[in-house]
Amino acid sequence: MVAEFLLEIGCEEIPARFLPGASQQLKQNIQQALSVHSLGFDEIEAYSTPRRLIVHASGVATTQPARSEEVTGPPWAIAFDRDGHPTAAALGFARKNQVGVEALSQVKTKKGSYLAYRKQVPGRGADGILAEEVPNAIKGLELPKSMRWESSQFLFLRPIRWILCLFDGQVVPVQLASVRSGDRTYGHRILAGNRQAVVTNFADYRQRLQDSDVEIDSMKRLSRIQADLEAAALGEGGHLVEDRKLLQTVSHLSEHPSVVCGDFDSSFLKLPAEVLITVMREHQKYFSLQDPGGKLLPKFLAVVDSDGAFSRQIQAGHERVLRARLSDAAFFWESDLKVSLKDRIDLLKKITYQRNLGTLFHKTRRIKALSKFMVKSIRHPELLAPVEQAAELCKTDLTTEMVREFSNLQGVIGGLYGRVQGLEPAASEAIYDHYLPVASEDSVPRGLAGAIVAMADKLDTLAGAFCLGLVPTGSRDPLGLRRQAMGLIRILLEKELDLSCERMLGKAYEGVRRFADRSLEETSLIFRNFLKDRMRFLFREQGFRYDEINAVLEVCWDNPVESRRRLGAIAGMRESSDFRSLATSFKRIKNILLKAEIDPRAVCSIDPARFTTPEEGLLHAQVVSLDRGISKAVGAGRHEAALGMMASLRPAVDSFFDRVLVMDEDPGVRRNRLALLAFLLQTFLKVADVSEMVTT
Amino acid sequence: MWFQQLFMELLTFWAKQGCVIHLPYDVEKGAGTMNPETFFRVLGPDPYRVAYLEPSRRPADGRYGENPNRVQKHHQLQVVLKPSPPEVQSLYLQSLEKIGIDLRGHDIRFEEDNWESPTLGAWGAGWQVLLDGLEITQFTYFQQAGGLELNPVSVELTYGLERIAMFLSHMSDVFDLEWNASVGYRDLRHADEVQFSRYNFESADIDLHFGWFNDYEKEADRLIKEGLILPAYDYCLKCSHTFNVLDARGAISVSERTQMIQRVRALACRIARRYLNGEDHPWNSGTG
Repeated sequence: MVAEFLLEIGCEEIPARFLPGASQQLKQNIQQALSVHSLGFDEIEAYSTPRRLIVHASGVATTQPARSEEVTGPPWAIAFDRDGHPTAAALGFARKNQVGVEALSQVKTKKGSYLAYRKQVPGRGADGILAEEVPNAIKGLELPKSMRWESSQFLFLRPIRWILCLFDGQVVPVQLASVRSGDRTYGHRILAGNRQAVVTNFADYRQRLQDSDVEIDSMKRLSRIQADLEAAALGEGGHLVEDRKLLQTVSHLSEHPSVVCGDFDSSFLKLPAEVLITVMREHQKYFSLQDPGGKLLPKFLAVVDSDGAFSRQIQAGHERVLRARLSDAAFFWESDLKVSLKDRIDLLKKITYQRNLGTLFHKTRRIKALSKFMVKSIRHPELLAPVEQAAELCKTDLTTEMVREFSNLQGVIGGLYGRVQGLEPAASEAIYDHYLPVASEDSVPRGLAGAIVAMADKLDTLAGAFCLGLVPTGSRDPLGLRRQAMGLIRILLEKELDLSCERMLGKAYEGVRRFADRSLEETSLIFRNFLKDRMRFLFREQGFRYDEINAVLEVCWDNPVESRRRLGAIAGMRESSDFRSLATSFKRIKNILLKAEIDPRAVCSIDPARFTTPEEGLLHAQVVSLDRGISKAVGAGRHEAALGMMASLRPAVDSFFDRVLVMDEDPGVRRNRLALLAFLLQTFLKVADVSEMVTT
Repeated sequence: MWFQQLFMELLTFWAKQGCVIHLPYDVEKGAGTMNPETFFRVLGPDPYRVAYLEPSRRPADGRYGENPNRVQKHHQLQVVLKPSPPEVQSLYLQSLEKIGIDLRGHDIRFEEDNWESPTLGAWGAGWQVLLDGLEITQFTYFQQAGGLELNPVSVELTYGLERIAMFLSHMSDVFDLEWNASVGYRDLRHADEVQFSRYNFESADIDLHFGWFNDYEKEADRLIKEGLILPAYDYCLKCSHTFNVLDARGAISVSERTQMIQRVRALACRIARRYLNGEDHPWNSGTG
C-alpha cells in the first residue's frame, strides 16, 4: 500500500535569501527520514513561497516492511541437559520471548554457539513514523539566522503560523512551537484575503492555492516573471538588462508575481548607467531597460506581488519612490563632483584602513610604490604615469556620498568621477577596474594599468593581513583574503604577466613592515602556502589533475604563468612510458636519499674518480650533459623539451639501479653515489617534482 | 488626510488594541525605540502594550529643508506589543486600512530587514514593509535589548509618518504636506530644518560636544552606580544624541566612531542589567 505525504509549514515572510536553501534542506531531511525508516516512495519534491515551505512525496509506503531480528539467549552448551531436554535457562529464554522451545534455534558466533530466537517484527505504520520525524526534520534544518517569537523559545527563520501535514488524506499530528498541524492552508494574503481552505491531497492543495492566487513552484514563478519582463521590455521597444541574481531574488519575494513598467524623468539620464542601474537594483529591486543601441531607457520594471488589476496605481507609487531615490543619487553625484578626487586624497588620512595597518592614505601610498615596482618589472614605462595617478586616487571615492550609499560601486564611482574630471583615460579606467575580479564570474581589469593597480591593492591587503598573522581559518575569512589571492592569480594568468609573487610580496612587506609582528620570512611562508592553495583550486577548476599540480607547485609556485606552462607540458607527457618509468625511479631516488638522511636539495660534490662501476660513470656523464640543456630549455619556456631530455635518461637510470648497489659498504663510495643521485634529482627538479605523479 | 489625522487615527486604532497611549519622551533621540517606554518595557517578563508618537532626530539626515524627502527630524509612530500576538501581521494590515489604504489596490510586501541598534545593544528580526516600493514601516521581533536576550519577545512596529502621509496625499515633497486644514508641514517644520541643518553641519561647537559626551557618560556612570537607573538612561540618551551631532559635524574619525558607539552601548547594557537585577552589581547601594 502506498499513499501521499504533504507538508506545508506556513510562516510569516521568510527572507528571500534563505528560502531556496531551507526548502531544499527540508526535502532532504524528510527524504532521509523516509529512507532511515525503510519507507519507500516514488518521488519527493520541494516547493516554496515567501510564506510557505512545502514538501510533497508520492507513493510512500504506508507501513515499513516486516523484518526479522535475531535475539541471542544462553550458550548452547547449557541450554540442554544430557538427555537433550531443555534446561531452565532455555525455558526461561523461550518464556521471555513468549514462544515454545521448539521455535528456538542455534547460532554460531565467534564466541561460541548460542541459543537464539529469530523474531518477526512487523513494520510500523508510516503515519506514526512521520508524526515523530516531521518535527525532527524541521528542527534539524541548519538555519543561517533564526529568531524567537513566542514563549516556547522555538527558533525558526520567521514565525510559524500554521502547519498542514497530511498522510494518506489524514492529518499527521505534529506540533511545532505553539502550532498544531491540521488540514488547512491559506490563500494569498491580499489577493485572496488569506482565504482558508481544507485540503485532502496534493492535487487538491495545488488547485486550491492556485484558485487563491498562490503559485507554489518558485521555478514557475521565475519563468513567469522572466517572460513578463521580456514582454514588457519588448512593449517598450527595448531590451531587458539581464540580472540573473535579481531575478532569483524577486522570484522568492512574491506568491503572485506580476510585472509593472514605470518611467522616470529623462533628465536623470545624465547620471551614468552604472549609477542608475545600481539605484534601481539595490534600493528597489527594479530591472532596467536599454534601447537596441545599448543606451539606458528612462524606464524600469518592478516585480510586484499583485495581479494586473491596479497596476496603474501601483506604477504611480513605484515611480514616486524611484524619483526620490534618483534625486538623492543626482544630489550625491553633483555634490561629490564639487570636490575633485585629488582634493580628496587628504581626506583619506582620516579614514582607518584597518586597525594596525594605518589609514587609507597609507594604503594608497603603499599601492603606489608597489605599482611602480611592477611597472618596472614588466618593462612598460609608458604605464608609469597613469598607474601612479590611478594608485594615488584609487581609494578617494570612499570619501564620496555615492559610495557611502552604494558601497558596491566603489572603484566604479572613482573611475566615473575621474573621467568627468579629465584624468587620463587609462588612469580612470584603472581606478574603475581595480577591485576586479570580485566574484569568480567577474572578468579581470580591462587594461594593464588597471591590472597593476588591482594586483598592488590585493598584494598589500594580503601582506598586511599576513604580517599580522591574520590567516583565514575554515569558513571564516572576514577580510576576504581568499578572494584577494584568487584575484591576484587570475590577473597574472589572464594578463600573462611573468612576475615573481615572492618578490612582489617582499616589496609589499616593505610597505607594511612598520606594522608587522611577523618577520618577512614568516609572512612569506604564510603567503606561499596560501597562494599555493588558491592555485591548486584554480588549476583543478581548469581541469588539471591534482598530481600534476602537486608536481609543479612543489618546485614552481612563484610565477603562476610559468606554473601553468609546466602543467601543460606535464599533462601532455604523463602518458609516455619513459616518463612514467622515470617518475617511479624518481620516487625511488627520493626515498633512498631520505633514508640516508641527505637533503635532496643540498649540493653535494661528486668525485668521478671514485666511481667503481661503468653505470655510475655513464649516468653521471649523461646528467652532466643534460643538466645545462634542461636549464636552458626551462629558461626558454620549452618545458616539453626539458621533460623529453629527462625521459631520455631512462636507460641510464634503469641500468644504474639494475647493476649498482647505492648503499655500498665503503662510506666514500656510498657518499659519492648518493651525491650522484642528489645531482640527478636536482636536475629533474628544475622542471617539476615528478615524484608527486601517480603512475599506476 | 492631514498629517495630524494620520497619527491620531493610528493611535486610536492601537488604543482599541489595548495599548497605553503614551507621549513622546522629552530627551532628544534618533528613534522611537530609544524612548524608555520601549527600552525598559521590552525587558523583563511583564506583558505590556504601548503606542506613542516620537519625533526622531537624525542630524546627518538634514538637507537644509531643500530635499523633498530627507529631514533631520521626522516623526515615528511606535507600537510595542509584548508578548507578540500571533495575529500581529493582520492587525498591522488592519491599521493600514484604518488610515485609508486599500490593500487590494497596492503592492504590499514584507522584505527582510533586521533592525539593529549598536548603541542600545539591541537587535531584532523582521521586515521593512513596502507599499508600492515605499518603505512605510519597520516591523521587528525584538530579540535582544541592552545586550540581554528578551523573553517574552516583543514586537515593535515603527511607522514612518511623513512617508505614509506623502503616499496618501500623492505628494512628492514632504514640505507640501498639510498638518491640518490651515497649517502646512512647511509652516511648522521648515525653519527648523534650515536652522538645525546649519547647526548640525556647520555650527555645533565640537569641543563643547566632546566635553558633553564625556560629562554625560560620567554622569550616567555615577547614576548607574547609585542605582538611579532611569535618570542614568537619560544621560545615556544624551550621549547618543551628542555623538550623532558630532558625527554629522564630521568631527569623528572612523576609529573614534566605533569606540564612542561602544561606550554608549556599554552604558545601555549596564542600565538594562541593573534595571532587571539590582544585585548584579557589588556597588549597588540598595536603592536600585
